[in-house]
Amino acid sequence: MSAPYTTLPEFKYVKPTSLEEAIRLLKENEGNAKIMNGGIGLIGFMKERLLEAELVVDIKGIKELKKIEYLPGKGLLVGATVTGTEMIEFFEKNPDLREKFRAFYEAVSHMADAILRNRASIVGNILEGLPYVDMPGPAVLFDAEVHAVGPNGEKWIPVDGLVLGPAMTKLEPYEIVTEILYKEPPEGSRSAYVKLQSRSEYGIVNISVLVANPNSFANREVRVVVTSATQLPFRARSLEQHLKQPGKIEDLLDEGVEKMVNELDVIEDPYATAEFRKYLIKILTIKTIKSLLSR
Amino acid sequence: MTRTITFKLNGRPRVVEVEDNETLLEVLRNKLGELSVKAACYKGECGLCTVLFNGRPVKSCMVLAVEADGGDVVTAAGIASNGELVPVQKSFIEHGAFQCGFCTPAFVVASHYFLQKNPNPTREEVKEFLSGILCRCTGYKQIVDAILDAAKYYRK
Repeated sequence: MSAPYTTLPEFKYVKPTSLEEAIRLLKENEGNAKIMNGGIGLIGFMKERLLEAELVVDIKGIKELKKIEYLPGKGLLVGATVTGTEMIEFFEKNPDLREKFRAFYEAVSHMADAILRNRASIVGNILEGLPYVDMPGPAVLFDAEVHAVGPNGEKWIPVDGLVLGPAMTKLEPYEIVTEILYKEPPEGSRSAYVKLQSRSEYGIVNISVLVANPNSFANREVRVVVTSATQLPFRARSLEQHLKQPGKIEDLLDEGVEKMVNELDVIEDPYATAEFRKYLIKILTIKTIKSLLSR
Repeated sequence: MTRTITFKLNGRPRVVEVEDNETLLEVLRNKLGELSVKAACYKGECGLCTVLFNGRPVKSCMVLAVEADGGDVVTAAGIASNGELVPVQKSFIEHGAFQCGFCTPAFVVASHYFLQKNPNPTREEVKEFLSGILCRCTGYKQIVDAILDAAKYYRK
């Protein structure tokens, strides 16, 4: 039986135990192999016959990919196979880091649902490339970079710009992301993640915000990332620049956010019109920044 | 590719031949007769195929059967011990927490796990945890009531 939607097309499954072996398998089967992590993205895409592979390489057997480490001054390093549930449990045991990376914690607490989070990984959620998922927002907010390893060496790639579309990234087909580094936010910064969802788990508009030193004109920093409303994560750099002008952030907000929304190419789908999404982006961005300013 | 896998199903070792492209859901229902595991959306949304896999609830339509090799799977049919229902099962009966009953095994297996981890949940926490399981009769009120009422038996 090979009915789409309910069954998977044929493939061979392998579960290497070392990174070297996994990369070798991907290289030898270049173009015909796919990496499987939590499987939510891959199994879903394959059932719908949007992706196929002769070889499925399960990376969950590579022990070194299962780690969470805080490197003071550098940031939070999260291994590729760390699941949403494991990330939440880590933050609950480390309240200081939970506050430091608050927007990440809030987003992962809303990623998919509690049962899927037992399988879904942080890195997989980003590389899946779907617009309405939760992990890309905070990754772009904290200037995160992924560590990609392949037969020709290794490199760090910023998450901002990494994804090109559903199941499409800048990565080579034989490269494996081993970990992601969320960079240390500015001293004293606060952050938040707001998800406005339809009746399903999918976000209509997700906003990630970080505010640092709002009262010090020289050191002030505001970061804003819009996800779910656009095909790819959108880092609002022109708004961030706008808020560096002389004057109080509160007074600069309305004009800056209005300009940002006009720049955006917003998704229109059965869950929400583009116009409604733009309205939501505007009010949620202003509201979230203001709530961080008053904390 | 066909291979033979061995895993614990509801406490008993089972050996079964599976294809690499078969999901755990397909093997549990079609090859091992575990009909308490329901098949509905096949894409990880409805949660009716939820089972405990190595101790945590997962949606078995999004797990490959080969991944279960050497592992431990518990279905709703396997949580009762020595023929006695667990408290949340009894509570479902007392509260009439089912209409058609199709979603019941998934809710029972997930909430039995949830109450062991959090025996003092708020109504919101129960709803949040179970948001990945759908009841198309929309009988959620009785389900949440049953779980909240059963919580006292999970407190030590």
